[in-house]
Amino acid sequence: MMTKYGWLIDLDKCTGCRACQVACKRWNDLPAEVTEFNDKWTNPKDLSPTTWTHMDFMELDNNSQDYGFEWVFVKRQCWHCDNPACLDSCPVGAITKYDEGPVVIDQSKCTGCKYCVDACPFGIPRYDSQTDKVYKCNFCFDRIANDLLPACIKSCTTGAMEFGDLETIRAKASAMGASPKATSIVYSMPTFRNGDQPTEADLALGDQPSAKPTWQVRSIVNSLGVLGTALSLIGGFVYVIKHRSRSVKEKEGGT
Amino acid sequence: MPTVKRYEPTTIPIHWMAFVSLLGLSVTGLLTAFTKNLPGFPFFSNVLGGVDVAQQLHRVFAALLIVTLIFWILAVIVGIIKYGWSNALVFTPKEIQDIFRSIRAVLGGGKTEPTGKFHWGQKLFFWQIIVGTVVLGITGLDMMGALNLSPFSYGINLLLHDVFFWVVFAGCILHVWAVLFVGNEQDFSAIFTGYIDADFAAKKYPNWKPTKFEKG
Repeated sequence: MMTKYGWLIDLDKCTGCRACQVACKRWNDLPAEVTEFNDKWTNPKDLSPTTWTHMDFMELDNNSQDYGFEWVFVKRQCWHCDNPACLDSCPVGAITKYDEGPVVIDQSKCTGCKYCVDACPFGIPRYDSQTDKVYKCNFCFDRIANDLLPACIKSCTTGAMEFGDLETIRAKASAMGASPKATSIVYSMPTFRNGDQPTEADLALGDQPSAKPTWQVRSIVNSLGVLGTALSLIGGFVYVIKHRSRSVKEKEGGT
Repeated sequence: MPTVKRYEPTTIPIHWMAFVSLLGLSVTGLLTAFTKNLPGFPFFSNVLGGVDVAQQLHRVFAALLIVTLIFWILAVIVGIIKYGWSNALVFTPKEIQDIFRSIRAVLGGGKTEPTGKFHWGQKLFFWQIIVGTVVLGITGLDMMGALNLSPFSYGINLLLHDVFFWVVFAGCILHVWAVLFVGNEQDFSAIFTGYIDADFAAKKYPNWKPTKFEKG
């Protein structure tokens, strides 16, 4: 039986060294970006077509600290959902959810429609206007297939990430007090120095990976449209047949 | 047989430009949105050269539709000023009542009322296309990043684009069906020639009192 993989990110252990960010770029041959100052130490500012994993330096209010805030480092990347909204939204079948867990975009099939960019509840896929394609973390599926750890996990200097069988990972996460979602990535919440814990909302970790409301409405609208068109064509065909037979009868009656 | 002028010379090329662009947009748009989901679509998509080709063609047809729309709106403005078309564009209270009469007639009871140059269905189709294509154009351009309208997220744009596509598409199907099967055969030839027989006009549009006659 195929092993389904997942990984646990223990935010208490992460020091924000960004080794994972660099390792991802090196393994996937992604260029560096021209960066600019922003209101945080996060660098670059966000995920991009050439930054598939990203360390977010969050400054959360904590009055027990002299300076009034506490840093939490959150690794942003594709969550590799069990039922990916991006996959459902892709009109050309360019996105695949592999049995082992990875959700991968096949750039040779991607037409740059950006449907997945909008559909993803976590805001992960990024569109590159130069190549007219969408990019995101691919779970290092090529490394996994060769029994290697994903590049980011391999490079982690503090052991903040654990990779393995998804059920084991989820069980460990639950034991640590985390609430695993229907994804392959599980975050373990950090603890502040005064013992408080931020919420998932504080860390912008998103909700369960269901499609956005606009996508749910869109699905209904298009289903009704297709159904309406089919019924119209059938109705039109029936009308024409009836109309023809009535005309023939009228002609026969007249002669 | 005497004929009457049904359409102005400017109306005919605008109609066919709209026809070509809307047909092209429908085909390429449907192939873009449903290639994975509907049977037969992958085949047609491949015939066209792939979904990315359909997407590029969609943009070409969209540009043609925008040009058409500009000409169309200009022609309508000129028509209102020069020929007093405003009556042909605005619904009268009687026409609104006619909507319900017509529905009853189609369902098998009652009769439709005599109409003027254009009946409520034709007026409704006009507004359906104008409003629909304007919304499709704005949302389409915004999705391409050409407008950057901040209130519309990509998802809202896409939803509006889909809703108004089906509105326009339904109107077009009904329009073609009515032209082909509801006895408007003279209107069909008129969209090529611009003229219909005076007898047909008197029978089909009894409240229309055309002034431009020509002998056939």
